[in-house]
Amino acid sequence: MNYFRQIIYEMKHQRMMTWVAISGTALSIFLVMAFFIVDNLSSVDIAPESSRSRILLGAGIHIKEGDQYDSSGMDITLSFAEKIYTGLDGIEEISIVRGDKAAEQLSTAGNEPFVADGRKVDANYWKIFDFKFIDGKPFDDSKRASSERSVVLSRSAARRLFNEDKVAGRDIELRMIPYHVVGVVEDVSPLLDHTYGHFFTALDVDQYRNVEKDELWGGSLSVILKMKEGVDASYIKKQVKSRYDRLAAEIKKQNKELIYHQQPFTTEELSHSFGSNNDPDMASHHRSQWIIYTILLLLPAINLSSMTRSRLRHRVSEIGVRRAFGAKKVDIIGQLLGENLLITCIGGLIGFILCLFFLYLASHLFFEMSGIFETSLEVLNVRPDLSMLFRWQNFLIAFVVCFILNIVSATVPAWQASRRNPAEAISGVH
Amino acid sequence: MEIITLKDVSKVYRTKEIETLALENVNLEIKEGEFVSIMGPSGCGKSTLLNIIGLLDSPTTGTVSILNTDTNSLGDSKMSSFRNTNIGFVFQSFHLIPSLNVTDNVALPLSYRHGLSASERKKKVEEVLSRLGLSHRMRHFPSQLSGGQCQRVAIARAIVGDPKIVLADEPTGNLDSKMGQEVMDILHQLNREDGRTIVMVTHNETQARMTDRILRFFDGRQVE
Repeated sequence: MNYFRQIIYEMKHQRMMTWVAISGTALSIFLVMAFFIVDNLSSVDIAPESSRSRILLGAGIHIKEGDQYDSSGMDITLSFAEKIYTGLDGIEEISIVRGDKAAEQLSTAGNEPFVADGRKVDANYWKIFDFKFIDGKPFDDSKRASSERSVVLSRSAARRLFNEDKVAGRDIELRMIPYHVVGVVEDVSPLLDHTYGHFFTALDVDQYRNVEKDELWGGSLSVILKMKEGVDASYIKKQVKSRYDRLAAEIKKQNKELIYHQQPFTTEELSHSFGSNNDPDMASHHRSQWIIYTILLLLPAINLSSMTRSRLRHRVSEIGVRRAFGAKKVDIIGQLLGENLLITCIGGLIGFILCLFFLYLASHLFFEMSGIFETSLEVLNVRPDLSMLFRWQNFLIAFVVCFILNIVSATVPAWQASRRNPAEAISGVH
Repeated sequence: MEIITLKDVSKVYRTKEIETLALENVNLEIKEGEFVSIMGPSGCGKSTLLNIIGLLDSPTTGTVSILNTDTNSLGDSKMSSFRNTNIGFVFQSFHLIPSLNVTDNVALPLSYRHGLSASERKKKVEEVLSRLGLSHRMRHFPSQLSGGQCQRVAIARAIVGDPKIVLADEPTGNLDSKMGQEVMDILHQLNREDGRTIVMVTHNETQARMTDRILRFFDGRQVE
């Protein structure tokens, strides 16, 4: 107990150095966490995209025609989607959706319309993502749902339209055309690329087949694949590559070159892809990540090492006195490491609080600034709770690494202090 | 019976440029229960001798035997334990740890002693503080005490572990005469009542004459 009291006393009496050391650790943990959160926002499993690690996106096509035309785009045609992505081994579900959200006018009969973000999805879409249905249910037959003009609303859209959540069975107007509400889902954050939207209508592939015919280029669709448990993305990519090669050989006769860019993309690749005409360079991304993490974690360790040296300069004679009264070298090292442990813990705690504060601010500021995410409907209930963004595992990893580096950095000065001749130390010889 | 025996002890301090002979062929025997003072001008090697007897420094040549233990053969860990059990130190500048209160300063040697429960430790500390008239200062920090009180705390710390030997390096050097006398009275009391062997470095001839024996040093050699 006296040991703990002494540490607190030392920290209070060398306030400047203590706070520099603590704030260095706190800032490091906070920055690592903030960077990690921002960097992984698009790839960690977050409901309703709870299986992101098993989800692949079949999107992107790159075709060259001789030396004159080089065309690429993220959206694909139905024909291309079917040739490349249907019937792959290791896939649990496949969903064909319209590639991007569309802002459309929603209203109830006779009322002023407002603009909301909509998605066109097939029935399998609801099996891939675990939306929380507040009312009603998803459509289970895309063709029928399309002909019946079924729509699933988000909670905020339902409230905006009817001032209540449970509106399944009621009718709305979408682009002035009547639609029938079959379900209401909980709002989804605009940060979730595949699931954010205010209304979801059914995508009937036959309509696309009729329009696009057998074209490879000029589509507006993308494919969402959910891999079976335990299947590796590389296994799927290998099959897709082989289909690309086959298709490329076919169109080569028309003097067209189909270029493969590592499709289908994992959510992580997708969030760091460099357009539809480049391969995602994850190795370079990971290298940059590690460099940033290393710098962020090394800085407080270096800071703490110098602080420890500086603090020890003021305590040379104390170390000598402790040695005189029976402290072994290991006791001295243990004490100094204990002090650094406490500094790291306090720094970690402050970093943790800063991180929560950052998340609080982020979840309020980011989501209220709808312009950033091009949300067209006023966002009512899409603020994520902190647990969605905060990962204990990440915090613990950052803390443990910071802790280890801090301990290692403090070990050298502590070891040097313990080896000091006690007689010289007592007389204050540095 | 000899409690401290030094044979042919020399101490040389070497730097890149110079060699300084701090002690030269010192042969010394101190009996159990003796109160010995060491005198001599500044730089004659008194403190070096005390550091060697206290195992805070090692001789360049010669042997140091304390309580029939050849200390030259002790490793760092055993030497620390040996110091903890058998030797107490009182310094001129007290060297109390400013961040610890009186109780914790006094308990310092006990905190490095294994097999002692917290309650036993507390009891010993309270006993020794009561003996030295410091019971009412237990929660005070060194900065809140007078010089005399600080030195009494330092003496309490030196004897709390019940060592047979107390080494005092100019214990009254930083005190006025009244407080100095108080400290000397305590040291004599520890010698007479507890039978502790006390080796004291001092510049004060009067205080030295009150001890059993005076060892005089000049230029690293024992001259008397």
